[in-house]
Amino acid sequence: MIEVRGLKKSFDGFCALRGVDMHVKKGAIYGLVGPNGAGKSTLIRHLTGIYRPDAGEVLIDGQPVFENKGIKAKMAYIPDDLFYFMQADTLEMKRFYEGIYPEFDAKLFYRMQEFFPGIDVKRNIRRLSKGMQKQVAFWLSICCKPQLMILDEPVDGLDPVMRRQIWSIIMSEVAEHEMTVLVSSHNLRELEDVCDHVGIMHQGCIRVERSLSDLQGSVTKIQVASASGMPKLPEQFEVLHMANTGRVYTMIVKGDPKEAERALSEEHPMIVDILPLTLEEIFIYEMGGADYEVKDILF
Amino acid sequence: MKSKTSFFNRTILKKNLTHFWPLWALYFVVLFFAMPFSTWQMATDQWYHDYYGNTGRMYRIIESAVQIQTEPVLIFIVAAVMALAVFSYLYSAKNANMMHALPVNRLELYVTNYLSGLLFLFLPQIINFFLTVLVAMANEITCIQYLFAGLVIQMEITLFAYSLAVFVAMFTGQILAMPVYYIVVNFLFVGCMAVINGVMSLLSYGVDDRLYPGKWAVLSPLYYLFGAVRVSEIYESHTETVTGLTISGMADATFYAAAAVVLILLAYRLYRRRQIETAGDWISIRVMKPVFRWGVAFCGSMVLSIMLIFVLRQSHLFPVYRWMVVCVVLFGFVCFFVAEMLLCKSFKVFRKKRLIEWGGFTAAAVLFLTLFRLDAFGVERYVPEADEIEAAFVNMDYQIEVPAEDIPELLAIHRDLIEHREECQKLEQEQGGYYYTTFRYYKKDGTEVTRRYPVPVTGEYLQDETSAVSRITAWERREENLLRNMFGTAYDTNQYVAGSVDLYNKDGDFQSYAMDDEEIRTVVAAIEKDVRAGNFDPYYLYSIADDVAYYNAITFDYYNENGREMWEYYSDYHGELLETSASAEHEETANTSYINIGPDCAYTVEALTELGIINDTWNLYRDDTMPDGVYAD
Repeated sequence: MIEVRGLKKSFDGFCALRGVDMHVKKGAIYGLVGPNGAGKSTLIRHLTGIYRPDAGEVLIDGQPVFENKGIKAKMAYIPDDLFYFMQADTLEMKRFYEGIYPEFDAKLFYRMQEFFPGIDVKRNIRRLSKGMQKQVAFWLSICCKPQLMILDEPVDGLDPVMRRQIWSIIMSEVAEHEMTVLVSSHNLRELEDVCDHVGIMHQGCIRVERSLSDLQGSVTKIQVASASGMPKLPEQFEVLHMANTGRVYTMIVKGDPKEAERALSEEHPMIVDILPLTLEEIFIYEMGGADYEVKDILF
Repeated sequence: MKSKTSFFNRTILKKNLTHFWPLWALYFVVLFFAMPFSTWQMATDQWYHDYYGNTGRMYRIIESAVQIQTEPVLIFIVAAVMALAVFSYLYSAKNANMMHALPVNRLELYVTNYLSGLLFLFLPQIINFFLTVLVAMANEITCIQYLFAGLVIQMEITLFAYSLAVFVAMFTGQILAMPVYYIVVNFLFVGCMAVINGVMSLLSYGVDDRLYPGKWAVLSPLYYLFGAVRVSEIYESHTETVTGLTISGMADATFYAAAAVVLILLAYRLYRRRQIETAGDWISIRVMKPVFRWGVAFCGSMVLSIMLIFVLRQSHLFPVYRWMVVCVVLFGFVCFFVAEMLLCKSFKVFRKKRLIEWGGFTAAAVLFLTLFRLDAFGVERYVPEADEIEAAFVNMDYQIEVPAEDIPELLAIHRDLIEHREECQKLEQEQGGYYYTTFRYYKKDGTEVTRRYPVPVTGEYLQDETSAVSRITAWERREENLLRNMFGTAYDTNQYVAGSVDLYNKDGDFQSYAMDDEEIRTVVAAIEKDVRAGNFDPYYLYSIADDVAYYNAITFDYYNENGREMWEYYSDYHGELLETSASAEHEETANTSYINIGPDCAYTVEALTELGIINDTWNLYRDDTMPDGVYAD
């Protein structure tokens, strides 16, 4: 659905994207994560056809997205900083989207009203709370019947109930209509629950791009209790992190966990325990490898 | 999916109409009160009928409405506001991102927004035109063809002013910058000319700061249209009866409307190339950033330097060049880095790269000043050739048109003054013994050359028959030159319609005596006799006269289809200003003479006495008989 090749972008000499390659399959929920300033929002603005690339290409459904209204009609974009016209209420924005998006489903709009009971559709949107404004954005976006939904910090500002509500609507759209979702968020625990693919971005590049299961399968936490000192792994395994408490060693290892378990078992340890990593842990350890680690602060 | 090519989006038009209604509604209301409502008020006011008569009332009421229609300042302001409104989404990052993420391409956005703004302008104009026509017809005002002509001009100027505003809007991502750029663009050419003229007048010998952009003023649209588009009354010959209206500047408006097409295309090209991330930036087009820095630095430093030197320069000994260099370096630094601060939106702009660039700018600016100082362009030395000149004037005490056969002599005087520059400047520095004299040449190629020199008028020069002052004074003494100065270029065919004499009594009270036709004829004949006898020389040849000041004046109003007042003929030989002035037809034929007289004008004094205008009670002003400090203003 999304294919980005060698995308580069500079702003007044500052290089924001340094040759991004990205692939998102149709029907996938792709989590785009990365530290602040990694270039996620810039990448998203290229995916939505707002920015013109300096180099490289951004294809949606095999077509360049920039200045392609046919492709854009299949997409809905909810940015982190929402914009609504001055004085506009929800009904007016609905009429605007209805005129702009050819697939806009007005009946769905009224059917979905029950999901957003707190929103007065005749009230100036700019007077609604940030969370409510976000709800309006979701409401309108879903009614556009998009094949691709791009979300930048989507649930930031929403209460837990509404978060679940929103994700449930999105998941049902994915399940029923094979909608593709690209979501950028710093809330990795939430992404872990919904994403099937993850791209980790750092310093204007996608460092890692895999399915979440592959990612979680390839980086594992191994706890080894060994009487014979520090356990050793063959060279094909990359040890991202190691710590020990007495005879118990905890390692973050990149590589096939079963192979690692077998290799460690050969040293006859007392215990070898393989534990899955959370997305947040994977992110922290991957970023540590890219010189973006959590520094110990001494007081 | 291949998208269908579309140029227009109804939803965006509807959004613009509903969101920006206060703007077009306000414009409609302003026009409504200024046109149909005002027309109705005047048409139902009996005073207009009584004062102007039925026909005169009709033309004056319509003239008032057409003046509002064709007022370029109002049109340019409203056009800028509309352009700013419909393209305001480009000036906020959130708004720009949202609009460009929608399934609408830039062509569709551009065309729709452009047409929305144009509609906001045209609709109030057209509706108010029809309302005014209805009001006029209901009040038996039949000359509505002028309203239609006014509407055409109004719409042509609107098309241009709005297209220019849209074009300018594409250069910036900063909402505050757009109106500033719009004003700058409208006055850029004449502004630059004024700056260069100002520099030349300070650094080049003989060059004055008269701004004469000529036809090139067309490059400063608002400046040009403000002078070019006029509604004026047509008067019945030699009367104050209005018989119709003329609207000047129709061709100019059409020219600008054609230019608008180019601007529309250029603006779209800029929009297509625009980087949306430049929302909030003072300059959206990268290549324009150095132009902005250098332009602000050049114009800012030159204008501030010229202003400061005009304030500081108290004498001709003031070292203008050195001060200009110091000021341009200092003000150039300030303006250059202020421009950079605006571009970077930061105060931290003193980087090595920019300091080097500022060094380059300073070197270029100082070189520019030095070139003028050294007369590298030959401005000071330039004297046109006789065969290049269509008309030549010299103005020492009053304006004289030099006959074609005397032009070589005038040019010789001019060259002589350049050759003896040091002598003249010495007198100028001593602040005495010179009289400023202007040489003006209207060349056959339509351009104008004006130079102004301090001509020595000390005793030795007055006695030397070959000196500049003697030769120019000889022309001034010719009776036809003085008569042309007094009564216009065709003085012998004037038809006088009014005349008055300033009179004083012994208490210093003043009155203006109105002469009848017979008295006018007598006094004019007496003045002509005095001119032929040279009796006016003390009152007109100030350069060679002792300190004299006379406050007596005789004023005549006259018509002459073939004549113009001399000062106006001298200032505007080609009649360009006249073409654009109000009531052009009337102005062309109606003139006024102001004549200074004194006791030496024996024939005139005798005529006034014989006519009884001067008598024991009311007399001409005399220093010896008036209380101190009494004079006619």
